[in-house]
Amino acid sequence: MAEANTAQGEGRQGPLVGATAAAAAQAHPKLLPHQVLGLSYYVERLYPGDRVRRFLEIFAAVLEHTHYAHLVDTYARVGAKCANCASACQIYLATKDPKDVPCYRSNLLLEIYRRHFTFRGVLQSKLAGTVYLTEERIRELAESVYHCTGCRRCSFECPMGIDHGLLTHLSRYILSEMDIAPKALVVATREQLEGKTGNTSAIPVPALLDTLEFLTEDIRDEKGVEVPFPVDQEGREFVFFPAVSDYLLEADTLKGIALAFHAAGEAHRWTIGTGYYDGINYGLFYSDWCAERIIQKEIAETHRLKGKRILIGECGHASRSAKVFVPSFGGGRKALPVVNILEVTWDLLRRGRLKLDPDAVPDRVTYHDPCNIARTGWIVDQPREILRAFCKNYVDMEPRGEKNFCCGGGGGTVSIDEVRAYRTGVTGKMKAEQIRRTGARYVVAPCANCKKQLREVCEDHRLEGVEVVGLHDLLYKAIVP
Amino acid sequence: MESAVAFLRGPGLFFAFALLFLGILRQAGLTAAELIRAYRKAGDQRIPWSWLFRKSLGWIVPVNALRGTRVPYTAASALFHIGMLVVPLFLAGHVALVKKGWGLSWPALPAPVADALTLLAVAALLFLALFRILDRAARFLSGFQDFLLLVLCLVAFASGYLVAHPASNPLPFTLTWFLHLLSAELLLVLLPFTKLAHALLFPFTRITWELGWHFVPGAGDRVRLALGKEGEGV
Repeated sequence: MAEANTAQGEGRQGPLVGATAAAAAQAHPKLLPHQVLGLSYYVERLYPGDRVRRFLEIFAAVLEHTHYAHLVDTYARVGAKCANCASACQIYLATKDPKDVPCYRSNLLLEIYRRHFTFRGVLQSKLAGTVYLTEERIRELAESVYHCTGCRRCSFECPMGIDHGLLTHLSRYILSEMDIAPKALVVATREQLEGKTGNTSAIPVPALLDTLEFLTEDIRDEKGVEVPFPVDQEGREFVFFPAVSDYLLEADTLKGIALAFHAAGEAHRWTIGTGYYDGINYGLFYSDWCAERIIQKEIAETHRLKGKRILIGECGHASRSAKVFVPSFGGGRKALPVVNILEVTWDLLRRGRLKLDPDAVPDRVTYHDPCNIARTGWIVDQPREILRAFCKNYVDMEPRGEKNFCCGGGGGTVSIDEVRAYRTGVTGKMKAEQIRRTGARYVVAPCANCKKQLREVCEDHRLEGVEVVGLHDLLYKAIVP
Repeated sequence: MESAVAFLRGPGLFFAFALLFLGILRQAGLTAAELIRAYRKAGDQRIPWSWLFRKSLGWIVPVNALRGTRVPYTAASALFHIGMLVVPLFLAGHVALVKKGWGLSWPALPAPVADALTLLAVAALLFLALFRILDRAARFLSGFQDFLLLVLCLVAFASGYLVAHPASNPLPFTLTWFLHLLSAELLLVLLPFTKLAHALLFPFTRITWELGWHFVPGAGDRVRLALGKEGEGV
């Protein structure tokens, strides 16, 4: 923690707990993050009634109406407590605090299930005349599940196949139904589902169109070609949903994508829809209810434009939420296929449609695997093949691919500015060391969350001269139009 | 002591197996019912069976234990599990007992192999116990059950070895016999009702894992309806 505390700059902390956390950490440099982080940064309003009872009501409703009953019941029976997950968890490796062991975190929820929803547990409580769940236990659970970045590295290390990432997701879902959820996520999702602009960054359509025009001008100036962004074109193969914040923050990524399609002569394959243009789905981080509604917007827009596939931009959680939720909520076998832009660009390259300048990027380049696309092995080799095609000096991080370390900002925590010290000092610590070891000038991270987080990690760990970019940012430099 | 041993060899053994059998039925019933329920409700019913099968198999192959991040621990765990699966089923003495009792018979392990596996399992168990005490994460996770089951396994293996080698047994024979029967029968009884259930549920946990990501359409709305929150915003 000492590193985290010295690494954070003045004035970057949010007004709430961040500030007090910094002060507390300064006074007690040995404090573990559990004491440093408070609760208030993520609670917008607190359920006013009996919270213990409410929690159990919600848990009961979730067990009845969702698919989690089977999962929780099985996991409650098999946990061997071998602590294998501890050795996989970068948070535990950084803090050595046993409360950060994934199995411990999962057990917070599983124990509530055992004590309140199984015959043995209910009998035990009746005989002892006690109630297991308390406000204190709810608070511990709430804090614990937002320490986790949901990277699911531990889920693949559990011999019993306990998906700690999914149990964290479930805990967050239950908590969110009693309004315990990070403000940053809730406010963005509210705008996306109920606001005027219908997207998390509150970008209205005219501003989107302006941005696209501006990007086209940029490409004309830099590359000397006219590359219009296709808007509201019907019957195209792909309807494109990037993390909507890319339109504000990641111009180079978008330019790279448009130029790749254009240079390959396949610009007729994609379109952006003005009805809905946001790939972000914070439902993956805290609420199944929101996740389904958001995914329906993507599906509806793709159908409106008679598109054949949902194309997600450089964004990890947007890709995985679409990959998981579109089949679940969009009709199973009949659901629209979901592809990530890296798969498409890789395919263009493989078919020899892209001409790349081998000298465009002489500096050392490394690649950060976003957990959401790499953990299951979905997208691991494709980006590497693309990068190797035009980067002379490409090096891999270790560990990589399915076993990569999280950027430290997963699970929605990157959106919570108040916890920056925790994100860069604790959860991002391993990543900083990894990046330093590669000696790379460019860290390629094809994910909006990872990019923001890694930039902050580099800043707070004084990794000078390191630039965090998207894959298409670099590709943009190399494409010969 | 003599009468206790007689009890454990007679009705005790019968009850242990009966409880084990009932416990397995309960586990199987619960798991099957829940699995089918989750599958029926899933919005997407495509399951990547071969991937799941390969993943499960990956955890069974002991060689993989030597490639992980915690080689000594996983190697010890693998040794223990091999001993635990092989020795009780294929020990010549056990096979003979089953043949005498039920008339069923299968090939037995040569005595030196069984001895070696037993001693390795005992060593592995001691290492695992030590790990559970010394490793910060494991110690914190562990409760009474976790240590009790380790001790029971240790007693079962060690006493079994001593029963088979009376010459090197410093304890009274009847006491050793008693300890072996007691610990083994307790393990049989506890198997379906404690974390040992993983022995039964292991083949199903990957399907559970996969189905966990097969969500139910409309479930979020129904949860909110049940909670009286319909019409409320985000």
